[in-house]
Amino acid sequence: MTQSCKDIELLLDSYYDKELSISEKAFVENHLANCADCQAKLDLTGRVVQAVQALPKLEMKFDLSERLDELIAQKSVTKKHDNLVSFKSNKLLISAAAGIILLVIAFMASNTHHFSQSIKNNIATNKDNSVNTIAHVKQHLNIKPVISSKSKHIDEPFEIAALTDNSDETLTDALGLATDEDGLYDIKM
Amino acid sequence: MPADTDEALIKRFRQTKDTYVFKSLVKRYQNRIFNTCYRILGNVEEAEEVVQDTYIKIHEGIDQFKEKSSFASWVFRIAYNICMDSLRLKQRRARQGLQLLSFDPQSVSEETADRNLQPIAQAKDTSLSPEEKLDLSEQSEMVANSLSLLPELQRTAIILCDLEGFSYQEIADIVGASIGTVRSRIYYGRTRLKELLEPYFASSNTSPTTR
Repeated sequence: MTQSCKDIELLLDSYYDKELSISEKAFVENHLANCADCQAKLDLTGRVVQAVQALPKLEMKFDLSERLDELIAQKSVTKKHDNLVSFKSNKLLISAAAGIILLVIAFMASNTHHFSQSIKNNIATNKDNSVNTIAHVKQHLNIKPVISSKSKHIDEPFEIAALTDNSDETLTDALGLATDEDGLYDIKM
Repeated sequence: MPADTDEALIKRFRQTKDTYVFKSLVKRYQNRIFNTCYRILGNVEEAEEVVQDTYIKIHEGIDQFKEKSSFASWVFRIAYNICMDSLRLKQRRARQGLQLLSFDPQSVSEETADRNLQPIAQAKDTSLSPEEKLDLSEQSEMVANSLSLLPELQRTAIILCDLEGFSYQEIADIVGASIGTVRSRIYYGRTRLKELLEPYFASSNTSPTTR
């Protein structure tokens, strides 16, 4: 086989399919006129193509056009279902959502202590301010306080049970429970 | 009275949304698409499913047909894409099946390895009914089996070229490749087919039957 035959061989299928340019076609035809080997290869190409073309043409067992309306209706129902299923099966989306939730929880947990502390501080500040304001008003108006059982504790600091740290102690005392050094509960018998 | 062209039918369907017009388009192509998909996939049921999905997609997206290519090319491109999705799914399932079975790497036999490489050839043998097998002449059976042994991209190019008569440019549009790639696939596919069929042609010494 010459180099020319190798070049032609690459073009034989395109030549058979009439997919060559005019110059390529002329090049192949020139060569074929003087090369029996390449002519035999072209014949074999033709036999193979004809053999493929001779394959039986299969037909569908049913006429699709008769079932088309039903199929389209079915598909529109399935499509809605698929949207839900695809969400369920989308592991990436679920993982991302779970990650975001965990981050939010972690953020909230880390800020809970600071948040409660800031509330305490705010309450203490407000309490001082209100005491000072009352004292200032009293002084300005020259009002002597009438001490009664209801008002006598007005200047005394008050505590909000829910915001104090001894609520647990009160609760555990009431229930007969106490924590040991490790913070574990002991049941007082 | 000459039949309406595809483009005329599409125009009328877009204007009227008349299902009867769309059904005319379905009838025109359903067996061509089925035949092509069957030769690509090697399985009747899968080919029928692809045809159904193709027409549902066409019905949903007929407004996206811009008439830059022929309607036939557009229809076959949709069918080809669904076929490839189906093949990938089948190959992925086959791989997963093999992974489940392969406790011991040595236990993967040559037979299962071949099946993994050529799932279409295997699927074809199991999907043909006795009637279909009888319908195939000796030559057709030989050609169909040889065709099923080709890599899927080469097989598809040959089917679209030789069975459906598409030009290289149309095939390139359908499969989303360049003309050079299509030319190459056809060349290598036919070269392999020649190797597989030459002994048969030599022994029978007859020209192939044409329809």
